[in-house]
Amino acid sequence: MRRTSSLAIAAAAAALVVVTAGAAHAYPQYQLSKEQTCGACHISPAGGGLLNDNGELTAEDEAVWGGNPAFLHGLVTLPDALSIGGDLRFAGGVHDNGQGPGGAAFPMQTELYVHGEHEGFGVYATGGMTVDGNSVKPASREHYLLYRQGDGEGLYARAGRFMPVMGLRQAEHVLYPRRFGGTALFTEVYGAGVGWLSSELEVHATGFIADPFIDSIERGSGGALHVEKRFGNKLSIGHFDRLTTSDADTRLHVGLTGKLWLEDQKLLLAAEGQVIRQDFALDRGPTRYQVVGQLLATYFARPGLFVDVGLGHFDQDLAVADVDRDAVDVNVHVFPHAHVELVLMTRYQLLGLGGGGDGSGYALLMAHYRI
Amino acid sequence: MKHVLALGSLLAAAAGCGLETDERPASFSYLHEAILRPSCATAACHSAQNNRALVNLQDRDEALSYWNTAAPAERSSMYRLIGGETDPDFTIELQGGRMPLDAPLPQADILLIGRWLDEGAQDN
Repeated sequence: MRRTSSLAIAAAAAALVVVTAGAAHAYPQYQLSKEQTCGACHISPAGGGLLNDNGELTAEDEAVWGGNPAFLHGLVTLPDALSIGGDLRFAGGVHDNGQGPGGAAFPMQTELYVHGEHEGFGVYATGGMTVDGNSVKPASREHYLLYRQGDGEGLYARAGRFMPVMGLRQAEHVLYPRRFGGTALFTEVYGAGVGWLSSELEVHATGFIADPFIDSIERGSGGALHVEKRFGNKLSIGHFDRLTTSDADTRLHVGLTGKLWLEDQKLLLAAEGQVIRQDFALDRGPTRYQVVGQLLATYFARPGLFVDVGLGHFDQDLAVADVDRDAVDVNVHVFPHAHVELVLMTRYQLLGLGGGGDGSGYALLMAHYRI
Repeated sequence: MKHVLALGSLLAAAAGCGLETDERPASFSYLHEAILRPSCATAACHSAQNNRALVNLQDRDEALSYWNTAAPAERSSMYRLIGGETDPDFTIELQGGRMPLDAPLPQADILLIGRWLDEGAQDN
């Protein structure tokens, strides 16, 4: 029996979407080299999505050819209490999973963001399109009530649907700490969070519940805590924990983050490591321990151009041989205009250092237009 | 002592070590929670939310329905899609590459799924 599989073709495109599709996020690479906190540039206290005034100015400063960084290039003047933005992304490239190269080109993201605020109290919401079978459907990843004591500093609290805060929170969700470490794409949850942001200390605490409306990828309830201490503009050290429990399993994440800014070399070194203990419910299997980590070196070649070189490691079960994987990532980010970003993303990954199966890799060019 | 064991585990992880014999259970309940859900039911792929190509591997019963229709391993098209060896007379063209495309399964996971298929692909 021979079945030429249209499923395989569709899945190929889908998986490549997974490779790169994602929400606009903060660039943690800027945290020590540009600003101290995610909230310094983004309205969300944990980063990602809408930029605030300072974020827009940074986008303008970083762009090779400048440009008006405001919503719709400044064609529309919004009231001070209202912010609107969005992201459009498209990508194309090649991948090889050990069976010869294949190509794909696909839309990645169509998403709008809205934030309205009065005297610190506001509403933040995203809306966009996501895959549904072989078609698309509307979806809102995040929507929450938000209180902010200040723009990028001070106390904040929020309640609604958002991503629990932990780890480095890299924009590239294919990096192992995100893909395997509890903050994969579309794992936003309903919950409540409080936190504190300053140039010396950042604290985020989140409690969350299983999504009552959809069968979400993250189906557990639990809590997460992230604490990060900064030592001037050179060094930051963070610690985070997360406990999630569901009718299928209980997962405990314990992790560390670190960033070191070498100003003379224009180099930011960032690292994240976490150990995950997973207990399966109903005696489905033995408890397993996982380890996931990432080292990332970012070189700021000039305004509007930085290069990431990363090493990732993930072991899905310490008790089993050759189920670990290692990846080398090289990403080149170019910001030609205040609203435009181009990213060349490349990866090669090995299973069990070659003993766990064929290696794989990809090279994708992503075009990102910020509305 | 606990700290020594923990440190040892971390060093072993860094070296990619583990037991050579795979003592994990070849039951669908385990395979679904430990391999299929975290590997396949991801964003924009075979999650319940996204149901890409009308394949939902997030829900256990639905996932089982895709997998247990073609046992043993050599007759399973799903097994072929994750990179498992199959009967050469029973092939599908892997135009997309082996699954998952962003993070192909390790051979040990493929063999464990093959064991379950060869043992009758039971709902266990």
